[in-house]
Amino acid sequence: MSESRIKNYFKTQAIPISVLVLMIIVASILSDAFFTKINMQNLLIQQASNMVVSLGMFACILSGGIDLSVGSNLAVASVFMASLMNTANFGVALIVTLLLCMVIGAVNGFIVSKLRIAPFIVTLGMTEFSRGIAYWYTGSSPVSWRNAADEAVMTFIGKGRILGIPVLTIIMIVMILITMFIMRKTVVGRITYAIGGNEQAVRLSGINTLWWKMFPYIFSGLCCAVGGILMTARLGLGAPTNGEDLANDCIAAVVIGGTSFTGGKGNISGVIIGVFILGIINNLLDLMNVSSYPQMMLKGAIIVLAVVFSTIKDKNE
Amino acid sequence: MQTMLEMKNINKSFGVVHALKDVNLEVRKGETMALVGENGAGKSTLMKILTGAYQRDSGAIIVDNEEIQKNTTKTAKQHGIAQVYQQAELVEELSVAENICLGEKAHGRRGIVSWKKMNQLIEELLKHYEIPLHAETQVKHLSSAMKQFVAIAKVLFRNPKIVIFDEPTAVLSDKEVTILFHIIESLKKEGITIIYISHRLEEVFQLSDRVSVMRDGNLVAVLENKNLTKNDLITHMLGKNLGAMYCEQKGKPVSDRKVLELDRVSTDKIHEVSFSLKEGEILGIVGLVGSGRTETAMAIFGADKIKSGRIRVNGKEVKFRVPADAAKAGIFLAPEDRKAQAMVLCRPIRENISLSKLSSIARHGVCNEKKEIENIQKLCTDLKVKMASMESPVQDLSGGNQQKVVIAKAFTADPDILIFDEPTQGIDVGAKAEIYVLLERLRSQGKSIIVISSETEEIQGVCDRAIVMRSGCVAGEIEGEELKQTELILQYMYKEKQV
Repeated sequence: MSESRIKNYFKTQAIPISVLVLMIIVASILSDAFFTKINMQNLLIQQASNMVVSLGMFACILSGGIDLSVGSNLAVASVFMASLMNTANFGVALIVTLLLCMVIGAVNGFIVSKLRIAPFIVTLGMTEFSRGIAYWYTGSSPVSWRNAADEAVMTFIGKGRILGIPVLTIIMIVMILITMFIMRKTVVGRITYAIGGNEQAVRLSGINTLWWKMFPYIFSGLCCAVGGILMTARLGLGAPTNGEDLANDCIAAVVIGGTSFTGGKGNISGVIIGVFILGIINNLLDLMNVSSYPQMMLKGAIIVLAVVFSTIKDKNE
Repeated sequence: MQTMLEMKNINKSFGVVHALKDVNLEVRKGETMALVGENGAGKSTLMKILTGAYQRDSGAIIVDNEEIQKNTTKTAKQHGIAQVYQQAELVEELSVAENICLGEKAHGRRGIVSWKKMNQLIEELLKHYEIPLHAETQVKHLSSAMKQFVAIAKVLFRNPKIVIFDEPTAVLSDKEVTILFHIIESLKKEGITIIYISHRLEEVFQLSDRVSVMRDGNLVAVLENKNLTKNDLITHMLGKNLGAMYCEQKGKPVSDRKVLELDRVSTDKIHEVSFSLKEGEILGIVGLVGSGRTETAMAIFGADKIKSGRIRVNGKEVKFRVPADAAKAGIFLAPEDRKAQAMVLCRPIRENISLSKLSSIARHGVCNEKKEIENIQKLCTDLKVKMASMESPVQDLSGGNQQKVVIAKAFTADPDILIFDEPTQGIDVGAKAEIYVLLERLRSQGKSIIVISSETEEIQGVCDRAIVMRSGCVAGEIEGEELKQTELILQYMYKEKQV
């Protein structure tokens, strides 16, 4: 890691980092309950699935696209995971769920890449389609599981700890590390950045963009599956209504974290900061007993503000 | 003669970079002052201060004996200062007349546009300056060259006193350049003061009364355009004598073996194009914008769909569906539009260079950065890429250095056949000479090269043989001594095909 890279990092992340620090300070002043061990752990646990899904969203936005279908895909993962544990076992359920969501992502990616339809439209359609699958498959009621062995595994994921650290948090960190590795060290990560920056240049450099462009959507599908399993484990049941506002939250987190909406620019630490900024706002307002409607209003305002700031910054450069 | 514009002791810094150092520019009324200098010499910054886009740190601007205290784009406009920009910003959906009138209140009476009056007025303007455009044509149907003329008309419509042209011929072919020069001559006759920025020194000689030379933020010389030689000018620009711009030790084709053959290739934009490239040859394709030269490159590279005809590489017939297939077959393309097609501007220099052959630095899809950094450091030092660090984004580099990054991509890709589309467009003389040396070096490594250019002089200086294209067809092939006859090339470029 060279010096210029570190400098560059702080230059690009200055706003999100200072906002996060400011949020923590404000939150500690406004609420005594904020800086307690229990609350901090709650915050980490609550954000686990949002964080994982945001990683996939990050890849899509970075490539110059977007995935609006994350919430519905997460619901699909949630209900399939829960019900397959009843008909088969944990292992089978896990593999089928992961594959299913990646297939959904691949369909998104294929239509975007091969047929050149705007990602916004493709994934908007998929939002309806996936949600439909989730409702149809469950008859619109939540699904739970009865098998004792599966019960144990799911409880371990949802509520267990290793060395005092929640398993949910550990899985979240593992997913972050995997994403960092992919985006920084691998060919596909590099091409994802490059496609977001200038797709035509990538194509004329002799790279077949058709397949590479599908990757972010497949990865997003995978992240939805993992996020869905985490949420299912935490709640103790799979529900087709899960992840209703998830796409908004993830887009907000990615954008607040400094990722350029036009693609090509951004990094994962920004996404992490973005997820926690939103998480702290929710957490703080909960602690202060503010109803969820003003929370929504505030969140909406923050999304727009974040984009305004990043646009101003881009212009100044 | 009366002084029209005086810029006195202008200073401007961006952070630690001292972009303009006590610059004094004086332009007389009605004269054409050329402003030359390498990229980054400070020409554009100086003009941006004049048009009010930037604020000076210190110094004075005096226009027509009136000092402008705080110069904004608005005050500059009030003083009759107008610039024709390199990339014309026009509204594609509107007509020529609407674009020209945009922002002027002239025809709105209670907000209602009198179309007839507007079109009539614009037709008169176009006719007056002999601009081959019609008021009612939609701008989106125009070529990039014609759009440039709309931008010029837009400036002229506002009755300016000082007109700044910044590289106006960059997108123009030789024929369109004559139209432009004609406009400038008319402006001169009307007593309008002109500041003309260009990399093409021939234009400077042809048009200007005097030449101001900038170097490293200083205005180093003001020369009368009498008895001025090209070498003098270059010496002033570089601060040293450049010698010959083109390589003196030119290589030769290795053999008569044909590495690339086109046999009556047609796409939507080219018609039955046939030619061949020999091993170790530098072949030129010369033609106007829209003559099919770039489109031929795109057809070879698999970027445009081929309707009929055959392409053979090393004697074997090939069918490229996508550019990736062409790259695999050992072809490299440096596209025409550097910024839009050749590089990912926001990504680091390192990643841009590696993009042409990621397989060489990756194993099982994981990049070996240590090896990559080593290779690229060596390559960049070798090619003399001037950069702060290979981690800085390519957009921070000057045009010449960006082109060197593209050439570094070519070295990394290590292909057999290279196609360079306008390799020296918009870059300064110093960098141009370096690029020509690099082309020769690629040839000495056994590569075969196609150079596409609209500058006949470049083709003559660099190539062994040239194909001339006109309206999508091959109009002629020129070799050996014939290549030195500019007249002959121009004849092929403009005249009807001789059967």
